Amino acid sequence: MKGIVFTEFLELVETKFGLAIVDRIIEECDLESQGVYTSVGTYSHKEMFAMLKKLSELESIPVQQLLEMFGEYFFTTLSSSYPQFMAQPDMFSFLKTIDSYIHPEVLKLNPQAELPSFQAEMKGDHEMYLMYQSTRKMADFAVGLIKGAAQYYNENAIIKKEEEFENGQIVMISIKTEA
Amino acid sequence: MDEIDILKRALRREKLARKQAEFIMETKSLELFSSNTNLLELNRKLEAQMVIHTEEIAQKEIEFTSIVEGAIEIIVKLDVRGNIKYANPATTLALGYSEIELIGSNFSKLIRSDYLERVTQFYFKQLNNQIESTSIEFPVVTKKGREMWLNQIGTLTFKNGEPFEFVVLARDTTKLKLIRDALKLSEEKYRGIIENLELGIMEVDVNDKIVKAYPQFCKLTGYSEEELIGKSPNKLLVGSKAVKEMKLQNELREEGESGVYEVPIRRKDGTIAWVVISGAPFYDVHGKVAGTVGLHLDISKSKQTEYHLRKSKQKTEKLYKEKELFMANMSHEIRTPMNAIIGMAELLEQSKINVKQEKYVSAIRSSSKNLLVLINDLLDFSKIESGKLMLEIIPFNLKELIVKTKELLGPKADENGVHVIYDIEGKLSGNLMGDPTRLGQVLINLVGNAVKFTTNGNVYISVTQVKRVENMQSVRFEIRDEGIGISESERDNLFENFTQANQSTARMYGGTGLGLAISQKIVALMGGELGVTSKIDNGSTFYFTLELEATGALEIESNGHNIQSNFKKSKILVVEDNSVNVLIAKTILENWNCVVDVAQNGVEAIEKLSVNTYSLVLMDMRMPVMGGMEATRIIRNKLHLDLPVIALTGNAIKGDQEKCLKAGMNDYLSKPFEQIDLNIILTKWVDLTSKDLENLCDLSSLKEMGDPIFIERMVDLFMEETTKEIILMEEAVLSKNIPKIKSTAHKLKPSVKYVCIDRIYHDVLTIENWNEGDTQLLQKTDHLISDLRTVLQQLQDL
Repeated sequence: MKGIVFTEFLELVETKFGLAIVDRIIEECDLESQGVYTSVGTYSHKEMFAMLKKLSELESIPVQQLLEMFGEYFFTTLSSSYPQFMAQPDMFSFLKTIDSYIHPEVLKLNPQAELPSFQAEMKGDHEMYLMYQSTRKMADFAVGLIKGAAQYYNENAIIKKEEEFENGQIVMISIKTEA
Repeated sequence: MDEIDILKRALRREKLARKQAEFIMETKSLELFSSNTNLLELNRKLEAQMVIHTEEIAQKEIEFTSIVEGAIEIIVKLDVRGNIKYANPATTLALGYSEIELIGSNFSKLIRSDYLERVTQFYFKQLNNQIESTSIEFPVVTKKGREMWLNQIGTLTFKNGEPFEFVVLARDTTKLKLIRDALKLSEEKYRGIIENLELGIMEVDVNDKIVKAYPQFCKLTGYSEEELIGKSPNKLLVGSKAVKEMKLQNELREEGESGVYEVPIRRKDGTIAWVVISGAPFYDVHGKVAGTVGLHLDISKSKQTEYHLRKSKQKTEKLYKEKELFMANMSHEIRTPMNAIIGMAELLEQSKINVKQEKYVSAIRSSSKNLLVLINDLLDFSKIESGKLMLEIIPFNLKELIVKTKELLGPKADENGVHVIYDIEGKLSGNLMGDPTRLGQVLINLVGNAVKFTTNGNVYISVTQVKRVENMQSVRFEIRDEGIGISESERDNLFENFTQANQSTARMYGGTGLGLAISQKIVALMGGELGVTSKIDNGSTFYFTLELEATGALEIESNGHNIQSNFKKSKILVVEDNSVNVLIAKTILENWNCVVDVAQNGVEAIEKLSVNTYSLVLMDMRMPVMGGMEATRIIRNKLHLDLPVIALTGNAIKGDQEKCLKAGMNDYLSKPFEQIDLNIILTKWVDLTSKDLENLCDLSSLKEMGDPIFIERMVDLFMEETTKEIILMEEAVLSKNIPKIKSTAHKLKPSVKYVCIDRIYHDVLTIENWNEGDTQLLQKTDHLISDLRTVLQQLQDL
């Protein structure tokens, strides 16, 4: 997993819960990296799940909720860091380009990256079904990211996980905007 | 404290993260550098390759351009509206316009105006239907106004799926076009000629079926082309001969030979036309005979003319033959009574008459001889006139000829008191090649004239050699007289026909006036020229020179023929219908001890010849029932007798004598004949020696038995009996009745033993004891019959 995900996560934890919680998570999780992350490095995703679990224990917030919160936060980072991917005029158009354009571009720079796939299908003009597929089982992070996107495009959207398959490896997400 | 520891730890993490980041960055930077280096290297290589490729492309373009520029074909690029974008040098060279003049102008301006619409439409169609490539031929006009035919291939190119431009490749076909036009013109011309020709042309394939018939052939036959096509030309032919001829010709055609032949054909209307067919084979592209072209020329008209001509020629020939026959008949009709007159006069002279009668007879004889000379002259003359006188070239003796001439004219010379003196130059070769009969005729005529016109003087015959080249001698004959001479004016027409020096001459000396004309013509035929010099009252000299070839020694016939007056009872068969002639012949022959038998015609002669044995036959040519020629053929071919047969020819027409010999005759005697001539013939042909040798009788046994009276009685008996038995035996031979032959032989046996020689007796014994295996016995019997006849004859002679 890319280092930026870890640095941004710890940034968010520090902002929301204070430096002491950051220190506690790192100290109490036996991390291979010992909590030393740089955005240009690459680290095991297990460390992320370990830290999320610890945070959830310390703050009594479910992991899913934490992931969703982090996704929403992370989108702002991504949109400002990679404005070249933000050319689409609206959210649905943007979401359609993830599989067709953004992820192929990402793979060009990071050939080893393990990226989820998002198959998009419109149901009428205002409803989209997005099928998440990844062995990382991080559909909640995706939901947060989509919420971030809705905020970015300034659209009121109801985003929810409709159904899960394969123990969360495949998740159908519905996105509904106002008419 | 806690807070400080937290911060310390956070700081430591940050420091570590920074170092980690720096390390990553440095690694990445190093990676980047090496990538960059690789990239630069790649770039360099790429650039180098680019240069090579660019150069190659440039080279290709140069090559391509040089091809286009150097092409002798016109290559032009046009936009879709026909505006010229590019023109190669060949274009400017061919059309005379510069590149500047051409580029931008419209191609249509080049096209000859009458073709403009057609060509424009053609390319519109290509453009609209987006056809990639087309070809068209049309004329353009060059800058100098010259017309040029182009065969043009137009290729439409596309860009982004839309028609982009025309690439046009054109070739100057003006010459080709001219040739094609000329060819077409000449084809038209020959078609015109063929169709208007008087020759009917027709083509036949290898299966003998008509594949094409030209109008003139249709006109000739009366059939339309549709009626003729698919038919065999044989159907038109008339007669199997024509079919055969055409078949033969077709076989020649298959071998590639041409030929000309004439055949009759039947027209549609049933009439017949004669055509000359000139046939020649024609070939397919592989050089194999594909059929025959026949040219038919209607020659019906000339055939008709030819027919009439032939008819008229036949008529003329028939007339000529009739004339010839008339001449022959004439000669026969004249000579027969002449023969009678002369013969009878001769016989009369030999009979007992008084002096007065002798004079009359002598007159008859000389007159008739003169008449014969006249007739001979006339016949000779007509022969010369009709070009029918043929000269012989045989060996003869000059001196003999001169002597004969002198002797012949002896009586007349004596009458006129003339001495005939001859002189033959010593160096002259006496034995020559030529026609002694005709030369003798000339000499007799000239010497005869000389004697005739001279009284109490000399006639000189001089023969000299003028020149000699090897065997060829130029011999000059001169006959000089001391007679009345001929005046200059008379000399001019001396050699003309029926001319004598003057009318009074004719009255005084007689003659036909043909003698000199005939002599002159004979001399001319022999290659000489008869000339004369003369002075009135001072004699005349006639002369001529002949080229005569000398030969070696010659068997000179004895000059004086001794009359053989005993032919030892030789049996002569005279075949003659004229009873006067028969009487003369019979009298003369019997005087010479001949036994004369007479037959009235050929049929009688054959009958007698098949029964009796003769020593010789005198055969007249013209007789009723069967002539001499036919009779002789039967004697030779059916009776298989080889006894001498002598023709008595009443006509002196050339060729008859040859015909006689051809028919199987041995010799000929021209009527009227003189006794000496007949005697010569008999001496020549009657075999007296065999008569002496083959004595088949032997009466010695009889002589021992009794006196002459007994012998005579026995002989008479033998002759009487044997004559009968011979006839019986002959009949038996004819019917091949062998028992009869044997019984007859048995009857003959005793008398034969006493009268005949032993050989004949043994023959009779052989026949009596006929051995079936002996195939020669019938022939032996024939022989025996013949021998017995001889015996009978010999007994009679005793």
